[in-house]
Amino acid sequence: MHKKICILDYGLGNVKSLYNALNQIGHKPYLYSLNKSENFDLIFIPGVGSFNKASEILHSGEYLNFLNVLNKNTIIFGICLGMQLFASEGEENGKSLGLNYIEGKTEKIKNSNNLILPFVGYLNVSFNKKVKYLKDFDSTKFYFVHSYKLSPKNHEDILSTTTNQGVTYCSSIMSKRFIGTQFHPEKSGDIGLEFLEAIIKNNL
Amino acid sequence: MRVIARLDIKNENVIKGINFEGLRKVGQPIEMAKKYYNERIDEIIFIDAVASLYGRNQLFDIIEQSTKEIFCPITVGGGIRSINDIDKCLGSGADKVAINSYATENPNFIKEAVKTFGSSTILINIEAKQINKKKWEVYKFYGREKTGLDLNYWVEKVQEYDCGEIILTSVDKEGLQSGMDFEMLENVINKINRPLIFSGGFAKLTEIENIKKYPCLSLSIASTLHYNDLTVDQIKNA
Repeated sequence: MHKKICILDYGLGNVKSLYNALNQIGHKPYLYSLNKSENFDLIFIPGVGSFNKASEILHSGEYLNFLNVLNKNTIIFGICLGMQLFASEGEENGKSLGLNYIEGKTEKIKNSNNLILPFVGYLNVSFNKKVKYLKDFDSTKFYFVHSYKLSPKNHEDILSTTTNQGVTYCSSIMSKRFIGTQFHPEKSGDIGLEFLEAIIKNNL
Repeated sequence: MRVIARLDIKNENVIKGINFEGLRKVGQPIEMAKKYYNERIDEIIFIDAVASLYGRNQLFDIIEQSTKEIFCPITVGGGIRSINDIDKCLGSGADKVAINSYATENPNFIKEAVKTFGSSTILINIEAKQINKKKWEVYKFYGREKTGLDLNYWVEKVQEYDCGEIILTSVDKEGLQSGMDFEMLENVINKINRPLIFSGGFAKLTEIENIKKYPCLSLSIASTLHYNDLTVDQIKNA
């Protein structure tokens, strides 16, 4: 059966890249703004921008009802800021509330030893061996661009880690119905598209 | 080290000059971008070479078309002078924008852009020309006009305003394929605490070793890729 995929276009980030990437692997995603009362199999939360601004948008209006009531059993996939928003709270431009899907904080990558921020480029991702269908992606490179990271309290939630400039951090999460990547699979070439395909195939 | 293909565009053609002058047509933007993507380039930068002069960027269609089939980061620059311009670039499918001329005229615009779109989306494109032994001046309008700004002063300023990345092009070396301006790089690198994209004059694989010495330094290439002197693979594997 045809799976219904939605992209939450809440005003931040490059929705088009993700739309084109999903198209390329044979899916026809719907945009939230045109299908607000629908039930979906998978909802993507993209996003580039600041945590506090996104938090403000998502906590006003109908977004929480859409994600947590109307689609309460739907798989939610957050990319970059979209994943960071899963946290209980964020500290970008002052404290603000996250979606509280993952216990933990979104915080600035610590600048103790003269780090160059933002982290930009293709970085190695080491996947947790528990998820069999992702084993081919272990130690491959995905595209990252970020200055903040989500630090889950519960290590069980961590799907992969990445090390850059001596900092090792959580680069993707998987917990209950929530999947998130700090990297951009829609911007990581063929391997990124294959990753998206694998997630969709194995979760829907 | 990221390897970035730079495509300068005028009237729907990719063009290439020497020291930003004597522009020659070298191909079609979408075709060339697709070729580099298929060869696994890390990123692509499109610059509208005449946008600042005419006051508008005309790359939206090219971005829209190319991002349907290209799944690596895309940066767009040339003639960006308002929040609305940035919005249109990102709306066409670009991931980041590069601002040069207008930032030199209105540095506060950098702040405004960063506040609206986040630091990592906003790149500052700097064209610099050597004026004496240890001094480089910042140019605008695609290397055509002086700004009076000292390079070292300007890199500090744009970081104070929290730009995401810096693209630094040597006007003196640009298009010559005679080697990059490592003297300029040495002179300014200690003042830069951002990912830096170094551009202008790359020609030889032996330069890669030098580039890899610096953390977070990326390489932007035009002529050497456009004229098929080296392939993406050769450069990435060097």
